Amino acid sequence: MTAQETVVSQPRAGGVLRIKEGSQAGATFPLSEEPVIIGREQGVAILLDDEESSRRHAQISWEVGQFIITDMGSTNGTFVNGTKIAAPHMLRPDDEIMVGKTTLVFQVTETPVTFAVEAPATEAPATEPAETEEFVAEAPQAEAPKAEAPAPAGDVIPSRLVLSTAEETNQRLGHENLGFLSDSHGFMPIRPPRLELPPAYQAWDVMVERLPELYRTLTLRQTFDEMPELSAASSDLPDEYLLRASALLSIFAHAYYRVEPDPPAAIPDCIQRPRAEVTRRLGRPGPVLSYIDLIVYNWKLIDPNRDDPVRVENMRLLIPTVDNVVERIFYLGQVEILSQLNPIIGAVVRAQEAAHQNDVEALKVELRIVTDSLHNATYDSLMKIKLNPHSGPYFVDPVVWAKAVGPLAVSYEEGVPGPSGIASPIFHLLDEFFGRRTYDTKLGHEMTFVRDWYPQHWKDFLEAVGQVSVPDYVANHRNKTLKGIFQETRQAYMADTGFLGRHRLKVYGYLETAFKVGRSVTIGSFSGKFKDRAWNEVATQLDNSRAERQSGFPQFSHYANVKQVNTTRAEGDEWVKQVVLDVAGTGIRYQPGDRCAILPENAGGLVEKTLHALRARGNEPIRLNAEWREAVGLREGYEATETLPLRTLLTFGRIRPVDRPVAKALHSISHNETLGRIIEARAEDQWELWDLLGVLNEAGFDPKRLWKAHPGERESMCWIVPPESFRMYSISSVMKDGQLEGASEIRLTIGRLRYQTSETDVSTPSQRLGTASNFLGDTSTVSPEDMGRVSLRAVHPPRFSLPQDERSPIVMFAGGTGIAPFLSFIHARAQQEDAGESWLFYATRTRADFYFQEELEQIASKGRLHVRPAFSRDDVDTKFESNGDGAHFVFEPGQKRYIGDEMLREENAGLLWDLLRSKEEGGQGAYFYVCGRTGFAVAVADGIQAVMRRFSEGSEQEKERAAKEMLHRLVGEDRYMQDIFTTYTGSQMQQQQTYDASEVALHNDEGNGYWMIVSGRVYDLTEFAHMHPGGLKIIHEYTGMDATDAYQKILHHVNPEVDSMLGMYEIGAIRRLDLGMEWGVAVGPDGLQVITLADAFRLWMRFLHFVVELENSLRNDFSILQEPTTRDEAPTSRSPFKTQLVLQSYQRFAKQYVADLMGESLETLWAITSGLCAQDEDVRWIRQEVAAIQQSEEAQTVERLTDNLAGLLETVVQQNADPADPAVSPLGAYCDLLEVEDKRFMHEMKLALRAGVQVFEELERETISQGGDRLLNACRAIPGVLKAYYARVISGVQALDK
Amino acid sequence: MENVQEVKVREIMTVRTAKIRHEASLHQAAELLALTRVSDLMVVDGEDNFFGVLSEGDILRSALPDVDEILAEGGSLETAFDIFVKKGKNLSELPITPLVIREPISVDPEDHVAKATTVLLEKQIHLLPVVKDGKLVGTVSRADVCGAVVGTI
Repeated sequence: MTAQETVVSQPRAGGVLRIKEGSQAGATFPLSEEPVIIGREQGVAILLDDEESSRRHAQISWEVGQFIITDMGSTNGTFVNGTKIAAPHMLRPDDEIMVGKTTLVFQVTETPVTFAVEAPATEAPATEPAETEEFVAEAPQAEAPKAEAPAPAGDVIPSRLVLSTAEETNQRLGHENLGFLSDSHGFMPIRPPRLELPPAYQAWDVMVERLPELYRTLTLRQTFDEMPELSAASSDLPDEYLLRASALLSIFAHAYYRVEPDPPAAIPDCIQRPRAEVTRRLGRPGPVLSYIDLIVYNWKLIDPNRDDPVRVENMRLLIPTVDNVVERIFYLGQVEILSQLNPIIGAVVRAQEAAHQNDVEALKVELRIVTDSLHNATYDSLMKIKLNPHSGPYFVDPVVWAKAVGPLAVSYEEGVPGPSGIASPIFHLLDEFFGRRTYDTKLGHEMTFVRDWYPQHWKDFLEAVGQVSVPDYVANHRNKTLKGIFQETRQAYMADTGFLGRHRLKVYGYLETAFKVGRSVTIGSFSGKFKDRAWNEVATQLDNSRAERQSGFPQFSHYANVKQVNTTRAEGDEWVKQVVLDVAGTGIRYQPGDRCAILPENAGGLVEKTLHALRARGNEPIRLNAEWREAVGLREGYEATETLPLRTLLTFGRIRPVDRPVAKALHSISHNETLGRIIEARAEDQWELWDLLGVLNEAGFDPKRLWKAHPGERESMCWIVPPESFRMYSISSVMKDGQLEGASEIRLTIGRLRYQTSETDVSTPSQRLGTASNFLGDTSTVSPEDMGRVSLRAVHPPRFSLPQDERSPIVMFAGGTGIAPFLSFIHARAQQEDAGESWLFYATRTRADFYFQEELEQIASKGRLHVRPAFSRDDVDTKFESNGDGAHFVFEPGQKRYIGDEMLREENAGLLWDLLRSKEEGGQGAYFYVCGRTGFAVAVADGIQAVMRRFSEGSEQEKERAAKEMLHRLVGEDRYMQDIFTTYTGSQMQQQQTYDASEVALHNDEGNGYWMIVSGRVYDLTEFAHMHPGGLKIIHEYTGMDATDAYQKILHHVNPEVDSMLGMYEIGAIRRLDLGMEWGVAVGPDGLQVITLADAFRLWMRFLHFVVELENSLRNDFSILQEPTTRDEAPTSRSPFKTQLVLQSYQRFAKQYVADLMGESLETLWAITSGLCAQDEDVRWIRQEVAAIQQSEEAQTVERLTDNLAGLLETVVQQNADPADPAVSPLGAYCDLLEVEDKRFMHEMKLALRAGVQVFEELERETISQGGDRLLNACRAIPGVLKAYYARVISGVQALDK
Repeated sequence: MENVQEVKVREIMTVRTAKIRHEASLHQAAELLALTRVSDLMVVDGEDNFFGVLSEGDILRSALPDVDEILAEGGSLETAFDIFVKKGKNLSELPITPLVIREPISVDPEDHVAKATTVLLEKQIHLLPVVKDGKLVGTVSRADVCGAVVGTI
């Protein structure tokens, strides 16, 4: 069916409701376009004599050609065909509506004349009540063939109607001004954007060319002031040029406004008047720089004949402003994403049709299309906007973005939406499709607001998609595969690893840096300054919005049986097993490199031991809290469970090792001293719940309290035993391509996790087991058949998949069971026709640990796979030889080797060097994969660098640097990928090396390296910063300080991919100070106030970290000087535009940072320090001291200097000169001076605060008694840092002026 | 008025304070509380080294039955009261240690009375131990401060 063949008109309304059952059986009520209400209140149109009906129970309205029933918040709910409706529901003929005890049947009286096709009679839906009806999962073939049959009349769903209308209208009109919307191009234009306007508008097209230059020289406003005014009336400018005119004029207006920090008096008439006309002609509520102007209609193809041409690398911006690489990639990346999602538009409509026609197979196909498109956009297109500086042409520097690109689009008028990410129609479409119910969060409001400004077809389409609920259809259906496939689609959109989750991380990465380098507004209307930590607000809002999307939809998990457990190797207590899960019919899909997330259960023995320690029988009912209710919904048979028997709770909960929050909760209710010492030593993870309870019990604690407590209480079982979370396993099997139904099985390779706790005063020696590995592999106590159903999901890591070009060679490094994901790689490559060579470096202890030897031999004997085993405990060399019965590994007496030794063997080193270098460097450009424990990953990375050093040229130092840079590039180009096991690294008390916070604070620059504290551990991230997918600058933001909050804010701590990698860089733990219960009093805002020594230490630390964070931000802030900001600009050039950006940094430093540091926080620090250390100090002293410095002649002089810089810049611009030329102006020299001195001020502030922190670290609980004077002096010295700063700037200026 | 700023804790503290050895039983503690009528006992070792504080509230709280215990025994107030008495008796055998608050807030005898007063009020303490070099030398109560500063004792 195509739009051209049909006559489109609005269908007329005509329907009837007949009461089938109830006291009024037989009564009929006609329906028309007027909304009617059903209820028992006098005056409603359909008045029921039914006590169980609410007064105003439900409403039926006529919307976009369909009758829609909506529940009006009735007490007992409204049911359609036996299902309670949660959202407005579209009525179909013979639908049975139940209100109270009354059943009403809906019928169409008059066939709407939408399409000139008769409805086939065979399509009549079943009329049985839903309780007895089972949807036919596999549609009987005898029915009318669906593929060619046009949608029956009256069955045309609203989204199809709008889509067809849009396609037809756009074609008839010859332009797409009413909104891009088609099956073929989705939300993208069918005709590529116009490259130019008619000749009469050359003045505008010329300006487009000149924008970057006008930006660079800051002559944009004066040039536009002289642009001639042209008419945009329909008599002059044809409709088909309207969108280009709109994009161009809107960008002009914003560029004019945003090019300089001070707003202009007005936008000149030559822009404003035609823009108003264009706005009117497009039917927009007002002038706006829309998402269409900035993104959807702002690209041209470099090579239109290329396959799949709408890709970042094949496009240019039509109307660039600064035209730097950041602007290009950032905007074109969004174009590519939208284009990759094109198939979703048609698929959504067809999916709704399939649901409407009860065609399960068709629905599955369409859901798969939506999923695949989302995966393409998430895994490929979204990844192209890169924050890693070593990723070559796709690097989008967050600082350049924040200063030179981002501000343009920010709306400058109240009540006008900006073209932020949430203005992309795809979010709106998917929200409607998945039945998002509320838009009450800040971002939710923003979305509804943006939508009012959309073109007509978009608005109509989104509304129409909301009319049909595929989620409801799926929820009421019994086909499990359909449910599974639907959930896979939802996950692809909403999960942390899905489109929204990845998008959120990216947004956070940019906005955080942006705010810190001084951007104070965003397109999405966030604003804020450094001290307010506005970036956290953004993250919170993104989180809220995500929660809002998910509300009403329970968490999802697939369920599978364990089909088989094969022991690959067993020796004593240790084993490696292959676990095969039967996932047929679940709809789950995966690709090589993906992981399987498993929800583990605790072994019966451990549960019984814990019950014993709790003095419980196991059948005690435990009422669940919200966290548990949600978690237990992921277990088959426990959906919507409110109460669990204690035994089941312990089976599903985390009872080993003991978590820190749990240890603290137990301590707060038991006051147990041993436990206190355990917590102090951070040794809680040496314990399991049962044996820790034993310790408490001995000291008189009654464990029954825990399971008797109410769910809200701190000691409730729900708190003490938190629900277990998913554990990740690499998948070893390969799924057959193109299976609609999904995979049939998943093979996992699992090694038993065991570790030994040691005998210390806070732990006891014991053998401990990992929960998850034992759950799946422990067949000694439970046979696979009795294991019950396993809850699982497939997870696609962003960076661990086979190269897109299968001809590329791959090199795999496996440590022990790290072979797991590579089995899938090897099998997948064996099935590919053109797969390049594959190399496997396989490190194990002995030949007996050489898992899957036969499997590897079979594949290797076909060539193309080359295995290099390295045995650390067997003195053998390995050869691969053919003999009579195929090829085999042959072991000969030789040497034992670690992985690094194997890599550096002569023949391997040369080979690796050839594989490592990119094709441009004359190498093979292979893809490298590492899987194993932390130590193994470190060894491989070291080996790689050793190879690089060996073949590099120059001095040792030069070789070292070349190797590092090469590794950074390898990672940046996504050619070096790691899958590191989250292994237990031992408790912090076993960490020998400890560091003081004052020492860490020094490690935040190139000279001293970059260190960071996360959850009490210290990491040296100097090297990792270059490999962080989120970029170098964001890591640098948090070095020298405690980054735990930021780390958790972006969920890194629950992301094993990141969390495990961090282990490679751990260097020790933070030393914990013993500050005892020392205390004193200080003069606080309300009078005398008790201050503990620990409070005072926290205050000093917080201040120190605040200064460190400012120091980091300032460095990023000034990094703009090393980046090109406009087209063809040399990186280090000092254009007027760039100079202006730097002037803003000085202003911010002088006005904001100095005030933040010398204000209230410093006064509090003084009040508390002087209160603890001296009785005779005036609490106001420091405020007076700072005020005196700020009013001094020196301070005033420096302030004038900063203010004068803008005037100097203006002079340079008028003379059209180079601001950095000393012959023209002292501007450049002043700038250099201020940059040096601003940075030095921040550094000295850090040292001043550090001096105070060191007193605590040295003297601990004796700080007051023995170090009071030192601490007081440290605080007293702080205002001097400001005084010295002013003095240095003045003498610097005097030296320059001579 | 010239001496007001020099009011030290040692000048107003009570030296004869209710002390108990840390290895004592709850029975002994209960008797001592009843005898001395203080709210908190100072816990020390054999050499008067300060060990912690034992409050009557904490002892009583551990004797009160919770709702499950009451329901298990019949659910009436009468049974609840019986359990209380029974639990109280059982407690008397136990050592005091689990109920002792270790490292509580304390003052130095040379501290100013205003400092002690601030912490008495802000942390809702009734009886503040006075500790010098790890040894218990006395206690300060709110009444002590009232008497010395506002009154004329």
